[in-house]
Amino acid sequence: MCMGIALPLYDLPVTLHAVPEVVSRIHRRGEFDEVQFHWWNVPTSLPVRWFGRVQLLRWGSKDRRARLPRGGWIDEASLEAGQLAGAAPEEVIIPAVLGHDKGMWFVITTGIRGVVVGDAGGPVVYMLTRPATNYYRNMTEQSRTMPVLVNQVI
Amino acid sequence: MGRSQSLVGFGDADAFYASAEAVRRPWLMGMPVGVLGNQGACVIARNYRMKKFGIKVGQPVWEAKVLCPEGVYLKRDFRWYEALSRKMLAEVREHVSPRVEYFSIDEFFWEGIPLPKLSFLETARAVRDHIQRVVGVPMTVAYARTRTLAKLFADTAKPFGAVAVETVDHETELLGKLPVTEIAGIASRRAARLAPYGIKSCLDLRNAEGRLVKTLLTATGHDLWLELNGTPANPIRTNRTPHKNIARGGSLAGRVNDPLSLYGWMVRNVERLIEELHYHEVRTPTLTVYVNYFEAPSAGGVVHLDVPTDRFTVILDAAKIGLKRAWRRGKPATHMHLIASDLRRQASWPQSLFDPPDERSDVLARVKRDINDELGRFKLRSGATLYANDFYKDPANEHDVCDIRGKFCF
Repeated sequence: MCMGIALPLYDLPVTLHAVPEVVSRIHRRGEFDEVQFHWWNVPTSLPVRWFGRVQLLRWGSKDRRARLPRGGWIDEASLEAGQLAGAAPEEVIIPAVLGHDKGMWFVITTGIRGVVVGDAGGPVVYMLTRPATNYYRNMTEQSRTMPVLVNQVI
Repeated sequence: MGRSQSLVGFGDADAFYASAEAVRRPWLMGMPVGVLGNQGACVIARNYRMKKFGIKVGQPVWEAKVLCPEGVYLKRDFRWYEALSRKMLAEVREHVSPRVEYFSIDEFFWEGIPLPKLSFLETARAVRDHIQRVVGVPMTVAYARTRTLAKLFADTAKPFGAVAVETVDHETELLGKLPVTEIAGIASRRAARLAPYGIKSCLDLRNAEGRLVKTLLTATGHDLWLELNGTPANPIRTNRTPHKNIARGGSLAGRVNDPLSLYGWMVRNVERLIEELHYHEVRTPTLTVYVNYFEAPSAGGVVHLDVPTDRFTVILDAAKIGLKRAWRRGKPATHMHLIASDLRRQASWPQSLFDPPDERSDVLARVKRDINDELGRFKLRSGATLYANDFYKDPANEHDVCDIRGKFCF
């Protein structure tokens, strides 16, 4: 299960650079500052390319009482089968250059596919997942699912 | 020894796979980067920053991530590495020397003449800087009297080094510091054979009696000895010498118990092998199917054909027999190789009553080849490969390091 992502700070719009949610997640790796978004972060959020710009949205739901599915991931096949149909899900791209799964940072070419659904508290993004390939399972010590990547197979 | 007019030039890209990834992803610069192998379980290459964490080539990824939690890992992409490798080759050929040997995906030998108005050392620096500027890959460049010396001295200058060793005194100084195992072709077993004779460093080997070296290390070792002494034993080969054998195969992406899956893999390897036979315009009279097993000895099945062939149906039938001989019931297979040996070129293809013209097969093979040339590799393939279909879903599996043609070794 992909529990986090990272992208270079320069990939985020300048308007977000001073947002506390971003500032507190800046890490230096190599020659560039990157921003990391993890499932365990509070508040839990992800950058999403939505309505033509990158913005931060709430990532999934940790609230047992919420109407939305619990967790931050939706299986691609379940979505196609109609899960969330009533919530009018909208497909989006989560921009990322790195994914994090079981302590392993792996390279992402373009981003991860996700869906945004509306909620009383505002829009919420879920990461789309599918059964892990053999390669991904080996790489991540047997993760069962992997993120649905844009034009990329691991 | 005075200044040479012609030395052997050698270029070796530094941490090539990892460097190649940084060419198309500049944000990787300065990060510890590891490239994972065909199954995603082992680090097959890492950059110098990751090397500092003690991560070795072949190390399992679960160990590597503990040693280097900030490390970034990628899946190998041999198509991209080939593109950069050929670009380096073309640059050396165009700007440095027309006589270049494509030794491996990231190593090149060339006939070394200094660039106009430059010394050998300045030439080495100029070549290194040119490749970095034009291709984006850091390379270490060395000039020395022979291939073996150039390769050895390049290793002493890595990474992003440039060295020219033109005098015997300079050679002696460097060879004295290098253990004999630094020479490609002398691993621990051969080193153990040399040790009782006090041969521990490269300098010891150079100073040893040639006859003794030949006795201990055979003619190949004697060639190395000659090269250490500055006598070229192996010329620059601008074209790959014709293959005596061609093999295709490798890992089965896990442990395969099911005979039908194993059969699917075998058909895949038959198709890959035939691609190569057609490309090199050779036919084989002998096919070997070799299978490695998990916790069981490997096994092979050799099949001799009536006449040399490159036909799918004939090779497939032979491979079935070979696989039957190599198959261990109930034992999980991990690797499979198909080896076509004793290759025959067109002039020696005999006419035989056992090899009547089969126009239908030939037309089918041509159509298959044309469609795959047009639409992409394995777009049209045998239905039997559906037994190993998962492997085909990943386009990265279409192209392996052994599919890069023209080089002498990996």
